[in-house]
Amino acid sequence: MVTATYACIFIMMFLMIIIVDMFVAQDSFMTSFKELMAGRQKLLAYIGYGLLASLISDIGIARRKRANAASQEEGASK
Amino acid sequence: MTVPAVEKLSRWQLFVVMVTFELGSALVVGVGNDSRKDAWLALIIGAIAGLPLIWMVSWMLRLYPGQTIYSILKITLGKWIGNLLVIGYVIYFLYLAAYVMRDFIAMMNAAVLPRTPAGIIGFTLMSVVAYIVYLGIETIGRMAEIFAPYMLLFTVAIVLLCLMSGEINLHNLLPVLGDGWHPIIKDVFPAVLGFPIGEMPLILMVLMAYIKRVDKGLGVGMAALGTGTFLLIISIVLQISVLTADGKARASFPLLNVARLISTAEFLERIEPLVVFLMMLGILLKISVFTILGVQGLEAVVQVPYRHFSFPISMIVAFIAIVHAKSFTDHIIKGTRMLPTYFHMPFQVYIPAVLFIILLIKHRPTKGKVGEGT
Repeated sequence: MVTATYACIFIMMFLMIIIVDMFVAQDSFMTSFKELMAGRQKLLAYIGYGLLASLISDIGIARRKRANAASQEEGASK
Repeated sequence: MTVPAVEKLSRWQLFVVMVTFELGSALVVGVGNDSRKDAWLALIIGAIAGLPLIWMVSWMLRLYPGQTIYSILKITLGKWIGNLLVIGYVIYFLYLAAYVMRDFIAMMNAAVLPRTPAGIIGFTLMSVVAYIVYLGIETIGRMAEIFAPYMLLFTVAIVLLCLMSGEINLHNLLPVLGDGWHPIIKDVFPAVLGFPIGEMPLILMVLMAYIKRVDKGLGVGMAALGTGTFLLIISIVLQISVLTADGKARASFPLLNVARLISTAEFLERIEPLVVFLMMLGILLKISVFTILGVQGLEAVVQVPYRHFSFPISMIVAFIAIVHAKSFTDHIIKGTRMLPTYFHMPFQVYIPAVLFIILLIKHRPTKGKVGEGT
């Protein structure tokens, strides 16, 4: 869930800054995209770190859920 | 899934968070440039216009004690429209966090770290912000409590040093209303009202839910607006009286330029680090508050504790901060042309006003009840 939310927010925000740029600079979508990203490809590493962190969060949440379910089952069987 | 702790803020903490928040980037970039010499007057009018907004927000939150604006939107407008508006607020808060961060990066590049790449500054700061957000709202409250005395002390020190160095010329503020009321009103609505005044009710919409006595939120909000505006007016008067209105409008960071001119007895000079420190405290808190408001909105939508989002979302903010504008000029143009009209007004005024009207209609006293009461 965290990863999916992360991806959605990233896409929405990225689209938003391109649209804002299109309004201000009166450019087309592709021109705005290319100009905003010009020489900044290295910054995509940030998105990688974020993706990694959200995947770790999701794995942690899933493990905790499984542990909770197991302990509840154990409690019910006792 | 962990159950989020019931976090609480004291009224004093809420007050200092709001004051530090208002000073934040307003100290860095200055406000009211279009009002020129009457920028201080624009700020006073903006603060007066902000009072009904604070009253409106606190009235709504008093109706639902302990609930943030996100819950109120969902309760009042239903799940779908409510969630859609909450996502809108999330995007808005995260964009503002990125915008303020770009101010910070530009200031650091201009004053302290000219050869450090923006990416490094962004990543370092956002890692700290992610940790602050992970620790929660109480940590932000305590952080503001620690920062506030320093901010006050440094502001007073800068004013005193300016006075002692003889750089202040109050004639630069005259004539008052030289161009009439028109440019001031045009500057207040929507620029000054949107930034920094309208940001106060905006954070009150979420943070007021964390104080123990919600009925005291209105007083705290009003007091914070008054104090923050007063300190900003001092800063603006200082900037205009030292740099002149034209100099202030031309400068990217007017307070920094003021600090560069200070020379007391040819001994106390180059006090820019004082200003940089002042700005850093305010901006760190401001970015943290915007980010936590954003991730709390996400929690309201996807029902996952907001702490899980702190690091991933902080990385998006750092990325957007650098990518959203090609240059600092482009960044300022977006901030002055786009933000006030298309972002600040809808989220700070229109949506809360519509919600207020709906709640007013929903909770209006019926004739029977009034009759029973009298």
